[in-house]
Amino acid sequence: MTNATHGAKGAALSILLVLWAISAVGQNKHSIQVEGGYVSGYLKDTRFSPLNYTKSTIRGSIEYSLLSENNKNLYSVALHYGQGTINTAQVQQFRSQSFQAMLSMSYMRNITTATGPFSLWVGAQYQSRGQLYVWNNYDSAWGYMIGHSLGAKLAAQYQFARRHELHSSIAVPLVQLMTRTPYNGLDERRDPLSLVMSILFNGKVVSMDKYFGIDWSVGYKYNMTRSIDLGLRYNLFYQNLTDTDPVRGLDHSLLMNITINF
Amino acid sequence: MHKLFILILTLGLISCDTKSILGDEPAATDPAAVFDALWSDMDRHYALFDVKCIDWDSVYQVNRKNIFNTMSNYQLRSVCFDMLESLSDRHITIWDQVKSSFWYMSGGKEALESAYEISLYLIQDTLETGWRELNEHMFCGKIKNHDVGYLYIGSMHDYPIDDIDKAIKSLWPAKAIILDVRQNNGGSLEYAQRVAGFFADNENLMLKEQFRNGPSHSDFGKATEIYTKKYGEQQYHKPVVVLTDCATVSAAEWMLMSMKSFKHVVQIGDSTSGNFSVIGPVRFLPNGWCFRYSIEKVVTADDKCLESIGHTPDIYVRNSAEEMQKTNRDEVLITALEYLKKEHGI
Repeated sequence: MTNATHGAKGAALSILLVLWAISAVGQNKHSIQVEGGYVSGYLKDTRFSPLNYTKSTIRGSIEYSLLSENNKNLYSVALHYGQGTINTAQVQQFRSQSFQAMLSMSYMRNITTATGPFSLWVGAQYQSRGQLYVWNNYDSAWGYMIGHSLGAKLAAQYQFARRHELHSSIAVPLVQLMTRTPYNGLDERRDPLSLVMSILFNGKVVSMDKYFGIDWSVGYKYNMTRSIDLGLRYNLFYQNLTDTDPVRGLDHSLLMNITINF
Repeated sequence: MHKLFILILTLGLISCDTKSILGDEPAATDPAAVFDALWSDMDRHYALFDVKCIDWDSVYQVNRKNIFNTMSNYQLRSVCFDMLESLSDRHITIWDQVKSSFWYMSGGKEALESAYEISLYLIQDTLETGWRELNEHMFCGKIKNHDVGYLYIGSMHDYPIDDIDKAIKSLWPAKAIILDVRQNNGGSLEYAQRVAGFFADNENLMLKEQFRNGPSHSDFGKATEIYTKKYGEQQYHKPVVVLTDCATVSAAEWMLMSMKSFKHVVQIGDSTSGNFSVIGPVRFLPNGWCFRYSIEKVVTADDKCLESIGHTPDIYVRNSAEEMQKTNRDEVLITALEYLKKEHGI
């Protein structure tokens, strides 16, 4: 567990150093995007409940991106948070609170001509994605699933007019450390710090044969001024864990964003 | 890329239908589906089948025969009660979350009846004027004409834990203490350890616990050892009598696991309930019922499992509700005073 913590800290520090080194070398383009919107989806985590749930969440995020001077390398760090409810169609009283959070870091390389209207990017992504649902209170019933994943990411951009752009991306986790609610809600007594560390890192490594996830986005961006873009994005996230207690979920998100370029 | 596109398109198209995305779920209107969901969840998570020597498949066969499509909710719940009663575990409860029409506890009949075998008013009459009620679960004072402190604890939760400190410290000068946990409905380990900590004569191994962690009835995680912890600057090492009955349950029984390892402690009354496990999270059924159950097994320091057995008293005595009403005598309390006089001259 200690190694995992040190590893995460080391990875974050390395990425910051790389970003700093790149930004110090030449005229890179930086941007910060703030995004918010609504998520509607479906969830079934049989460790939490045998029932099918629909999901309704408000989601917000902030993302920092750095594009190298030659338009070839794109680095991004994003933080998302969402909060809402999950509901069963059969029993209103089982409505539960739902929380989700995500940290993702990605590197992508432009594999097309850097000056054309169309560009295609390929790269890798590290992501920590967690979801938590609580019925009544933590003493009653709760469930969570957290995945720290490494995956592949593909993105495309098409500037179809001077101020208008379409973009799309798709990310698939290939391998991840996944933690879940213990089999019976509790596996041993722990002090609060140990409990938090266990929730975050005490899991097992799963690859695509057990967990399949896909994160797909398509969006439109309007270049309002040189330094401000406005955008609209649709995101689809699907996940399917085939384990002792399977999990399946699908989220549709409709999001609006503003990007400041500098 | 082509396949990925088709997958995305398919997900988009079918995502307006919950069932096509998430798969089947048990239906509220199907009694068999509700019964099966209950049986199956218990089968996969309940921790004490082996300890209680229960053949859960046979229990299913016996009760499943009584399920039919047109049965009422009332009939369905009766069958479910019968199935759960076979486990006789007071940590198994089932209730209707939607209509609040019932709340049922497995194996609770004897404990409920024993509520008439103790009268708190009668006990309070035996205390000197100035006895204190610390909260709705707890009162203490000195027994009339005896240098003996008395403390009643009816629960191990739902009040400030410091009330335990106040009560025990107020009895400190007494030559002996009677700690009455009859009808104690359990609660938290922290409270159990706090009470026992005041009387600890050593840091003893109190119990070992193992949580069920897999679908097989014999899947358990590693055993965790829990030790008695001394609490406070000094401990009470004068004679202590703990009074118990068949409704003394759970955290109160954990407290006894500590107390019984201390040389100056004696248990008088009836055997305790014999329900030691931690209760798991709330589980859901499609018709709006909820249920909970035991998720671990607990053994004593010498590896004895007291589940369904309870703590056997050093001196057995049980009140009769009828006799108590007629004579106004709490035989359990009187036996404790007689013991203190005979054995310790107090």
